[in-house]
Amino acid sequence: MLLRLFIIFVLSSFILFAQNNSILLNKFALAESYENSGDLEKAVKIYEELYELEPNNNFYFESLNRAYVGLKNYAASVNLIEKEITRRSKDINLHGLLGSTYYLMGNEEKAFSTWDKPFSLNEPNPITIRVIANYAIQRRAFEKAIDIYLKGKNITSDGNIFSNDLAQLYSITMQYEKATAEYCSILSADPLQLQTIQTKILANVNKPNALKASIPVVEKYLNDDNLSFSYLLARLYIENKEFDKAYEIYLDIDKKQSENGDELYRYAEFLFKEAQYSLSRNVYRSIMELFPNSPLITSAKLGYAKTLEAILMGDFTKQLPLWKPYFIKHPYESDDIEETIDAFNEVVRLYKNSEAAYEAMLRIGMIKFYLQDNQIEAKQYLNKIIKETRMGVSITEAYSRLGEIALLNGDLAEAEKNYSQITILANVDIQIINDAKYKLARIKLYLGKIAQAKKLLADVMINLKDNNANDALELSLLLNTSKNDSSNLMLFANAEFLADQKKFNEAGKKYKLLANNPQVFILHSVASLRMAEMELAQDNYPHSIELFEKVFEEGEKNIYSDKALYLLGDIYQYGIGDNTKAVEMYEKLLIEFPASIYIDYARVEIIKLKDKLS
Amino acid sequence: MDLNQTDHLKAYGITFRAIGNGYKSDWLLNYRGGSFLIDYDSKLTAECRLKGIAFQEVSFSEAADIYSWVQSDENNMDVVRLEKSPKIAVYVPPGFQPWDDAVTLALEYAKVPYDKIWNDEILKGDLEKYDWLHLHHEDFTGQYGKFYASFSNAQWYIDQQIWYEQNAKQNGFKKVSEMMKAVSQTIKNFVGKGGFLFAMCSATDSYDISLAAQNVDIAAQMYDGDAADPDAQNKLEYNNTLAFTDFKLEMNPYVYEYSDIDIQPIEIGNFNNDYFTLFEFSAKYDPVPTMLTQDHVSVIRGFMGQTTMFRRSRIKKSVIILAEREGTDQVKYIHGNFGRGTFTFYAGHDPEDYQHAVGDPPTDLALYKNSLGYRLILNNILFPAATKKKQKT
Repeated sequence: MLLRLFIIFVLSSFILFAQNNSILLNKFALAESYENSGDLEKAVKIYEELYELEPNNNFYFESLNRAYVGLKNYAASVNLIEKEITRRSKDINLHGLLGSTYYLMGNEEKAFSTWDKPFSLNEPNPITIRVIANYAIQRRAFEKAIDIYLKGKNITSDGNIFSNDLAQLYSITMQYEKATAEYCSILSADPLQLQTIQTKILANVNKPNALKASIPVVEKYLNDDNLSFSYLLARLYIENKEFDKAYEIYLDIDKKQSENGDELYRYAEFLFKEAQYSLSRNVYRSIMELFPNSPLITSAKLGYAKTLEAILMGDFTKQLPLWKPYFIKHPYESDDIEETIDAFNEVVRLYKNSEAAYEAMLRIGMIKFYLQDNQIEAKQYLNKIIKETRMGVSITEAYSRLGEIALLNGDLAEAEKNYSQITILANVDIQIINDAKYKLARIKLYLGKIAQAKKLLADVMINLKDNNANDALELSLLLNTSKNDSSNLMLFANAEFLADQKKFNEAGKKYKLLANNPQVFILHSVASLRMAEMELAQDNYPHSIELFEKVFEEGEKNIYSDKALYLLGDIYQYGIGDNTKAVEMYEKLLIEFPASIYIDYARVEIIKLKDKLS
Repeated sequence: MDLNQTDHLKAYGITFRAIGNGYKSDWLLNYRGGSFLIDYDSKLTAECRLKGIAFQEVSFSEAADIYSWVQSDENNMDVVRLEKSPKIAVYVPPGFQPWDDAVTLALEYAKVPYDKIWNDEILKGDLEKYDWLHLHHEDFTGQYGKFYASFSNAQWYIDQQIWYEQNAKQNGFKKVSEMMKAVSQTIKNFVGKGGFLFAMCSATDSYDISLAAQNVDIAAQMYDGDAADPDAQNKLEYNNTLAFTDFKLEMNPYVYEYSDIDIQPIEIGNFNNDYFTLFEFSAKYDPVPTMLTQDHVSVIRGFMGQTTMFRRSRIKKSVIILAEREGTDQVKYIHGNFGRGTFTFYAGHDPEDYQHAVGDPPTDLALYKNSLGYRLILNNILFPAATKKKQKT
């Protein structure tokens, strides 16, 4: 009987407890839903009731405190937390929370002293430090968080345990010098962290003054035992465009480490892509001199040749009078030519029968043709490419250059043959084919085969976005308007052919015949302009000015009047060096031809020259 | 300034500078799309040619005919003398911003001189040095554009928040939202004393919300460290605002919207049909709204922004509606007076970039020389130069 009574008592107690618990849980859920809907007053009432009933329940405590803070009832929050602290004085989270409430109240001093308190109560350990620092970070009291971590750094045996946290806080607060020092401290202890640290430091470099603050710090850490600092510093030098200093570092790394020029090679390639050709050349040269047995030596030689060519072509182009529609090209003299050709010959020797070798031959051929005016040797190189390969970029370029040489020499059959080859090669870019077709159309014109020329021009004009489409349109217009005047058209064709051969004086005479004939409309307009251009090509400035002025004076009768004015501006600017007169010409262009395609150019030149003149 | 003009935007720049250099300049309202008549000088014509601005030289008698035509009662046109070019300030935060400001782009393109000012200058009273102030895409509520949900982890957002916090501290404020309230109030005082305020995009509604919330915390914990006042909505003071009233705040900190002043993208419907229409005002009786709506076409392609369109029901009755989306309750462009000054609010971010997103490259105005939307911006910089005439009754 007693046993039965006992069982009934236990069972009913359990049921009562379960019922009571379920009621509390329901109340808690109700309070949470009030809180979520923004009705904090009602939520607080229920949380207070629940906390009263179960003061040891941490959920109730935290929820009540959260609701107090949400209502900005900071005094109640302080009372609540202090009450908890009297019961659980060593709970660091309570001190963290109390500090947060004081901070929200605007009492910074009290907040900081509250956050400091756990360090005097407990034996400080990394967890205490991190927990309290996190409370400070949550309140965005970053300087205090830094202070806490620095305190932690002094009391723990591992000096780097908070370095990452500190570095991040220093970065956030824009103290980049200190952030870099913390990162370097990590790198000192563990060089394998290089990639991670580098990424973190580089994330700051675009911020004002960050890079300049970081470099001196890394420089101080540079040492022979830990090359990760060398890599890091070189990267920062590159970011700061101090390429020479980066070069010294990579050179040092290669000497100390692999002795095969790996780092230097990577750096030289990077410099080439950045168009830092002179430095890139020096770096490739260093690899060749310092690491002659490196497996990278052949690649370095190819890179070296390409940088030499880039420098040479840059210098060559700079001295050309590209502002003139036609000009006489004189052989270019430079000590760098032979060095560049030698470098490419070395590539040909190293990479026999490869695309690199054919590209090198093409480069030599172009230097021979364009820079040295040595057509015979140029043709030898270009023909060798055609003979030995049927694929790649080099072969189309070789045909194109051979066509150009043939045209220059007046050999129309040979020129036609070469340009035709481009149109039947496989896998050739459409722009290159269109360029060849436009040249072929001109050849057909010179040969008097007008119908064929028009058909080729029509092909080019299909794609109006193509660079050749404008030229094709212009020539096509000329052919169509002059088709009934074949003798004058052929006279014009002869003049153009002579101009292509750079026989400017003879061409000028033929253009003159058409220019003096006002009955031939468009041919007259073009020929008048060309006649002036031929004089300009021969540097006969006074006469060309006279002729261009005549074209301009024809006004609306000559469709090239605006171009004549624009060229007059250019002659005064680049040929004679009279900027005032040049501005006058460009301004005249703005006044007389407000819809001209040269307007934008003229505006730019006026602004540029006015700056110079002022 | 009709369709024959080759560069409408630069035409404003040249007029602005001509006024500054003492040339007699008139704005011929509604005459050929709102043209400028400036005293002849070969320097000006040369500059027009250089800048690609179309112009027409008229003789004295032709000019007299134009004046007579424009001032005749039969035409809805008038002449406004432009006397003094206003001194312009643009409220721009220093450093990198992942978006652009249409007004700054327009001023730069038209070569109109301006100064950049920020909180420090405003709080120390520098607004007194200026006649005209522009606000763009800034958040005057201290909620960092309410970008939290999308960009709280983006470096620019993190940097921006830190920077604002430091700026607030330097200016003696515990919270950014408090500093922004002070900035808003100072700007309002500037308008009250006769300043011209022009705001675009979210600087319009966020500015007025900030004025309404001078005495209540509407920023959630992630923005200013403490919770927003749960009863913030009821504590708003609409009599403090310039343009808007009775709006409902969007208190959810994760929603990219300040209030129901702005419409939602879904309310635009088909983006291809998004056009707004300028109202036509009487040039002789309402010269200011007429100046603000000078354009060569009156139906203009819409454009979005953080604030895209104002809801008509949230605009105060005293405010003049300059442009709306016909057949809807969406308003694009409004103007009003406060004290001795005026304010103009223009919704949307970039008139030539329909959906300008954070991080998008700036619009190249050389490609939009005749932009209708940008022209409205430039009307605002010239209208303060107009001589005030007695209202005809």
